[in-house]
Amino acid sequence: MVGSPHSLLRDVGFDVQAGEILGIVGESGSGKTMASLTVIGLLPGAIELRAGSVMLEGRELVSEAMTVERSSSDISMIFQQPRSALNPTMRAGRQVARVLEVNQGLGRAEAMDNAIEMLQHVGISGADRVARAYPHQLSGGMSQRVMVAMALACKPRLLIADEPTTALDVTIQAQIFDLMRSLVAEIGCGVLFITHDLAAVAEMCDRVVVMYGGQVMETARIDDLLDHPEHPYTQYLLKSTEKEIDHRVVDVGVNFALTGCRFSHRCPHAHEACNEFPSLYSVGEGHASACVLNKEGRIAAP
Amino acid sequence: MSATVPDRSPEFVATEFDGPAEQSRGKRMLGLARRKPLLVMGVTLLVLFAGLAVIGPFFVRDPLSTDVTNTFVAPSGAHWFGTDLFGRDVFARSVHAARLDLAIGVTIALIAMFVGTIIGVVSGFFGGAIDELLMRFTDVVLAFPGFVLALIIVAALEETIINVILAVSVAFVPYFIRLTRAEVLKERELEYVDGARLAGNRSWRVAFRHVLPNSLAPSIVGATLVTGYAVLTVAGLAFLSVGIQPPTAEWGVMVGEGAKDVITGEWWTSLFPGAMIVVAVMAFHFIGDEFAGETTS
Repeated sequence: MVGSPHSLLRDVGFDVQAGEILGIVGESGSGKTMASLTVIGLLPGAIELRAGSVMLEGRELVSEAMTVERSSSDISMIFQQPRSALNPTMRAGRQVARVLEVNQGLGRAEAMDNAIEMLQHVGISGADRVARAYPHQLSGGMSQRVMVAMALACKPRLLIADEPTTALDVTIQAQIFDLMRSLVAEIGCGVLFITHDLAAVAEMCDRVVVMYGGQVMETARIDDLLDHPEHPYTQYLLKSTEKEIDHRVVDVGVNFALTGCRFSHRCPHAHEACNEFPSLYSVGEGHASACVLNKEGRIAAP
Repeated sequence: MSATVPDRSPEFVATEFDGPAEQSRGKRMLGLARRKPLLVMGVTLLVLFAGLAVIGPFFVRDPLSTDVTNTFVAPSGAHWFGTDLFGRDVFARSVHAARLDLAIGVTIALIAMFVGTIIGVVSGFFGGAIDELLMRFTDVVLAFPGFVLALIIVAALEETIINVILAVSVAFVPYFIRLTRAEVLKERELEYVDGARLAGNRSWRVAFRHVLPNSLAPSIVGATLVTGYAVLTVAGLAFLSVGIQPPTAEWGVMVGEGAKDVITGEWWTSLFPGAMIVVAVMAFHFIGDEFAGETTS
């Protein structure tokens, strides 16, 4: 905003297959939300897309003006706070119906019928009663179900879920996970699942992208990542969940190196080569790590 | 309650919870009157004024009929508020003026709110050059005291009631622009706005159907305050013989006409309409203040 532009994301790339759930993990400020907002074309005003590409089923969505042109039924999103993600002055059913009106050109009454059907489909009992309710009359879990109904009403090709269960308690969290999984399997859309919760990733995702400081650290199938993480950052991230917290990693807080590897100032293995921005090195099938140590292949014990 | 759970300390017994359900409506009103005396007073006064404005004129004398044999009659059973220089009944004139002044005040508040809210949403939601332009415009308007601005506009135009309404509305529009814009700036960052956009709504629709209804609360509160100010401004202009002219029954006109009678001892021709202005403006402010406290806390 003031001064020279900063680059927030660099060399960030990932792909999601239809029916696949791709997790993006990282701490606050890692750029995971920025990456997803870029895909959906909702970057905040002060931030702009300078270069990059978003492809959906072979179509380039980034226009020459560097804005993301998407039809709203292609990509949809589930937000973190179900409460603030619903319009407080509009009845829940109407908000779902509106999506159908805009994207499928349905009439008002027909859209409402379909919306109520969709609400039943996401496991809301008494859907016509809930459809008439305003968001403040719904519980958090119920609101998130309404959000899921809104997001999936038009059968999108890609669903972005930005920490969809952070605001919910664990029981509801499990219910929402189950619901998302079964609906995604039914619709066959790809999912970008953004979270800082490794447990959630382990439960939900097929593949994972680990981000730090706007850089992709490691990408792998979930089992590979949990079994033998390659990148030092991932290793520390996993370790921190085992309560063997290494204070060199945890204490520094949210700031990262601005040149070279973003993790270099916190990394115990940092050396001269880390002043160069690393590229992703393949360390196995579908497994890549952005650490110079991985240049020659795996470093972690298998 | 406390008998069945004797081990609970007295402050833990939920009087607040099981209290209201058992109270009669009368008790609840008393409770409200104790907690929010100004609100109850304001609403009561406003209801009285509204009644006076709507049905009062059917029961009083003609506010314009003169009676040279009964000039400057002091307040009495026949003439509650006395009569003026032309023998007109001050009470009848005050009641008719209530209808006119309140109608004008409410109209001004509604016009200013309608225009101000729309401009405020456009300015706050779309931002950029439009916002800059509109904000500088409001700065210019706000640079003049509202009263002086209205005075200039009415003086420049023909002095009709419609022009008074328009002029005073213009003076209050920036207030609503600012109120709405501030609220819109807050609301547009919330996720439901992104959600509405993602759902495929065009931005004008997101602005007016999603953000606007959620940004109205401060303006609605503001409108009650502005109604009071508008009555005061209109009466003030009329007092200065700008805008509404004699012999119209209007509080400001009456105070203006009656002001010179005070010296000769006929205090009633200006005191009663003046008191009406004070009480009416106070009623709106009591309500506005109490509501403002509610929405900001």
